[in-house]
Amino acid sequence: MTFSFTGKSILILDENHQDRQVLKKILENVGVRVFEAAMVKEALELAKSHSPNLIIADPYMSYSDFRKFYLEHNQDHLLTTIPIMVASKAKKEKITYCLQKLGIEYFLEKPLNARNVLSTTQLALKNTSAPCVEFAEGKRIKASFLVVGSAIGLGETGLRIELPMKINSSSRVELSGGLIQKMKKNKILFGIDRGCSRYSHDGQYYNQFEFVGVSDNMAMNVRKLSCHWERLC
Amino acid sequence: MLSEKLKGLLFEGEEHLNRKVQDCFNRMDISLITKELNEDNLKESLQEKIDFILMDLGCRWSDKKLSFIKDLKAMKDIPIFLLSNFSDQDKIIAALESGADDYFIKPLDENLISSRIFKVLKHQIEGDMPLFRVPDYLRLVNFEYAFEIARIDEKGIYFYSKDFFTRGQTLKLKGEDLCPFIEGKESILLQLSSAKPDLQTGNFYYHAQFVNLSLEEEEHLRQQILRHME
Repeated sequence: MTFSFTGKSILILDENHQDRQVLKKILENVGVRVFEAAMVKEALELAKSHSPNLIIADPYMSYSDFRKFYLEHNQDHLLTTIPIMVASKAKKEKITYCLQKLGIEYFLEKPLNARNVLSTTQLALKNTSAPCVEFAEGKRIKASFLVVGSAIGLGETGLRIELPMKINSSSRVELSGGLIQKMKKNKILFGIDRGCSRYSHDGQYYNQFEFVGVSDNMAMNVRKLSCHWERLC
Repeated sequence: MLSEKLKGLLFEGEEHLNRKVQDCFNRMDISLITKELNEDNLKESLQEKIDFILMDLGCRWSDKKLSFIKDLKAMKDIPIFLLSNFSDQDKIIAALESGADDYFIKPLDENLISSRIFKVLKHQIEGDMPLFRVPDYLRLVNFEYAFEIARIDEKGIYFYSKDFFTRGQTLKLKGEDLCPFIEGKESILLQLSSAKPDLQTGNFYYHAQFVNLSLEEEEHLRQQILRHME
């Protein structure tokens, strides 16, 4: 199947008007919708409003400007998924290190030639043009993972649970399982003591879960249940 | 509370930046000593009374730093913080997976550093809750972890979280959560394939790939995504 550029959009960020026009002509000829910007601010606005499939930028417009653009691109959830291709007069081998550091895979050497532009752009678009739906903040799909953990320790104030995740947020969760049933409940509400998770081994973490609204009865159940258990250091 | 001044050890800092980092910590009333990263200093650091370790990821990076973090964590429960540059995102994730507790991005922000260090040191300051070892047959516990999907494509979902997940693990999602993108499935399995730190907020951005979709379900998902895009 041949690759089709039709329906794709690309943003060009380059302060050199002539280079922008050359790129624009090559890309528009194959059906790409092109947005162009000479300044970082303008490019960021266009990227946010049009979500192009690719951004082609010249980092030597002014390296500090490019860095500013790159930082904002990487911090904005709407932009971070748009790949950046660098177009530059510099030789690729000379700036490979910088590109790798920034995680930029695609490079176009100037002066631009149509064949090179199209093959590199096609490669970048092929790898990244899977259709997707972005949900803005406030409109995101609410979902939940079923997490299975291992309760390592039990005390009157809560549990220490080993999980392949380190919980940093403060939230409340209902735990179920054999241990909870031993406490004569199907589910018990726990608050997560944030900041108390610690590395255990091989990507596992000890997380502290504390009883919420623990009653005297519950404390007695815990004491009864654990009275013959070994104490954890 | 700890009665003594906190003491940290900076491993492998960039020489010209060590003074700046030390000054920054001194202003927070934390003393910081610097050492080269090698076997001898590793053993020495286990003997000394050190409250935390700082490790510069940007300076002379090698995978040895990851094994150093793993070894140190296996031998001593000491918090390890990373000093990092903006571009070190993959290294940050790898170091966190190896056992590092948190990271700081240069230029250093004193308020952020002190709050994060004290958050991690909290259990050492206050002490752990008294606990009894749960017997193996009672250990399995389940809970639902709520989150929000920020993006969906043919391959999987993307989401933000304050919590740190180890990559490669399989996650189980209720089928109804992805309705109408995927219909008639009781549970959807995903494998956490990539993580990226959001350096401004301290959150993480994750990609989890579908692992149990049939060809028909993949096609249905693709059609639904295209419909949403219109």
